[in-house]
Amino acid sequence: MPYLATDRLAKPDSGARPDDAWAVAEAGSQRRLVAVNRAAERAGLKPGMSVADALAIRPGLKLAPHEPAEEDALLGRLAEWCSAYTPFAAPDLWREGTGSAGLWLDISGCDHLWGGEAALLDDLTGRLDRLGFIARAAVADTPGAAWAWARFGAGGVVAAGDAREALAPLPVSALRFSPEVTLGLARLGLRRIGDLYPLARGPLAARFGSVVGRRLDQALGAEEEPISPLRPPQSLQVQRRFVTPIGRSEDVAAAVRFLLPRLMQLLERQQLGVRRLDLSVFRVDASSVRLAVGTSRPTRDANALFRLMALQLDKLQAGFGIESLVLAASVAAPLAARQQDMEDGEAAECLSEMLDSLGNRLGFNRIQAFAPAGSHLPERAVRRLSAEAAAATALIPEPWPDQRRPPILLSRPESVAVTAPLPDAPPLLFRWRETLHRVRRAEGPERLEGEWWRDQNPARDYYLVEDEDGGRFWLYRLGLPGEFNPARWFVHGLFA
Amino acid sequence: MSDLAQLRARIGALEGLPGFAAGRPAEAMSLGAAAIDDCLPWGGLAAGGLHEIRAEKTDDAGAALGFAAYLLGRLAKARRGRLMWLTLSDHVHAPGLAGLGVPMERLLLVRPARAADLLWAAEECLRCKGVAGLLADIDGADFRSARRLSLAARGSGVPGLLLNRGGLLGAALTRWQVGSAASEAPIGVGAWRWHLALTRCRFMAAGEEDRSLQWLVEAKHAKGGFSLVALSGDRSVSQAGQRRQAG
Repeated sequence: MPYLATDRLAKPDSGARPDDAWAVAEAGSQRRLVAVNRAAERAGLKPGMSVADALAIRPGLKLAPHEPAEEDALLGRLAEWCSAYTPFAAPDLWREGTGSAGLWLDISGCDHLWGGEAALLDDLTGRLDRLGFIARAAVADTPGAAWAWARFGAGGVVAAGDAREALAPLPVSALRFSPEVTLGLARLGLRRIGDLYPLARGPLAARFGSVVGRRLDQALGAEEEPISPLRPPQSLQVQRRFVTPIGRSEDVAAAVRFLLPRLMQLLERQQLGVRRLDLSVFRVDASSVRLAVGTSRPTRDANALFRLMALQLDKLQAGFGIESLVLAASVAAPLAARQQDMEDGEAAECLSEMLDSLGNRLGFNRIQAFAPAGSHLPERAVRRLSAEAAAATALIPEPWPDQRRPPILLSRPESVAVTAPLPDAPPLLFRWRETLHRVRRAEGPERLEGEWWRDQNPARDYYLVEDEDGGRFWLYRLGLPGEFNPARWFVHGLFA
Repeated sequence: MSDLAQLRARIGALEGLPGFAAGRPAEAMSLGAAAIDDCLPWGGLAAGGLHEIRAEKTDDAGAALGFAAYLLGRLAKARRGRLMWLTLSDHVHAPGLAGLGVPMERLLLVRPARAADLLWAAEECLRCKGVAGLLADIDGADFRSARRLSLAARGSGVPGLLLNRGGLLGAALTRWQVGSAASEAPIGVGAWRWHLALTRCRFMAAGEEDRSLQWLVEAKHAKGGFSLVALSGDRSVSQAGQRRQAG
């Protein structure tokens, strides 16, 4: 996408005229153009020119700051949108040599859906063009060859097996070398890719490292170069494309209703159940959104899943219209047909539905179960288990400590002023939250220390004290008796 | 059955209240102390309804939470399914709950971010037959929400304990006020003791409606698990009622 940096700014819907000259310049003391659009190019402007020169050549040039992060984000969105063509789509952020980034699409096995590779390319560039993005696209045997052909060749389809011949006249920078390598090769008189074919690899590697040989092999298919997709492809997915883009939420809901049973059939064949369901919505303006629902245990209940998804559909913004929907079981787990006694099954079914509904509205991380942890410190004595771990089956009862522990533990111990007769005795009086408590009964101390390999915090001596009114508190003194003078006391918990 | 009891049952059936529907005996959980169970029209804590638990003073938050946790443990014993604990705060300490007789392996803690979400979640839990008991830590509830909770509980038969810091809930079947009481032990701190007052109970015998029943109870580890012992019952109010009848 040679003009991405400027196309991004001069989108047709922003009211820009096509013959406006646009340029993107780097900020700084010496301002230079980074990218220019077609109109500016026709006027003779080139990247690398200083802003002052450019304005002299083409008065009225529209300038904008260079924002690579924004561009990358845009590419990411476009790549998401391209996953309507193939699950293997990814942004290509390699800008050396041409200054413009692009997109990777692995269309193996997808082109027949569009009536061939050339038709797919036409469709893709046509759509991008309508969105205001000028794109040069190429299809070849390898990602490397397609990259070179799109940027330095004529573009279009390079037939299978023709890559070696097609690439030969292209400059070596088409092989994605860094500028230093390109310059080094040029010094040796190696300007065309074809010049590299007959050379022995050894001396090249000695001079430039393995990169030259590797890029050449990648372009010619001797070495694999996989495109890492944005998201791993889903085999458990169903898709629906709309001839006329839809926008009403009722239509989307109907489409989801249509897709869900089909996905459930796919899952049933493999004896799987959904744990996480993703609905990808592709809009006509090259944007996409994904809605996700999770379940606490695998399910194939289309109605229950629809109810969960429906909660999210309300929030969906259709924008200019939706052209396709992909429903995928992104996390699936084995779910065999089970037999249970009726009553128990009904209760378990309703429990898991309830937990799903809580989890999807509140967040699954807000549902927790507890198990004892092997630490003496109260704040580390509890392991929090996720809802999934806890909900699947009842946990095995684990023994909790025998010592009395408060049902309320303050998240942060609160400092209190204390009157204690002796350093190692429980207090007689303490003032907590503006109230004076007279201690009538006390039990302790129980000395609790952190694990020695984890922290060097002072030990704590805990006392269970009861005041005149029967209020029961868990107090501790920091450090060994007499370690701190005056002694530091804290309230850490409230007993029943 | 006395005329009064029959009339009460008929009104209860008309209202569709737990324990009175179509002559079905109430599903009720013993509180673990016969003295208290005997005072309740259901012979225990009724399932399918709301029970409000309040602290006597703000200092008694621990005692109220302790009593609520104790009741949840009793519900777990009597019913199958999960225990749900809904709260906005993060200070619930699992070892302490385990010490009050709550089977922690059956408990799920839900921590919504907002009070409105909590009431919604409480309703979802009360609708679900797979829940043995619900405890929701709330700061009052408007009439509509409380009524919805009550209907949800009635529909499913799930008992709901509402640990309430806010305004009184009219939709509750019973209301318990809990205060901490000084413990007794030769040395150290004894078993937990609470002042317990039943300040509201639907279907108390006529004339007892506005009576307040009070007990001093002690939570004890005994054979067959954790239970309550009523050390003394205060029936002075009820005696006053009898005197009035006599006069």
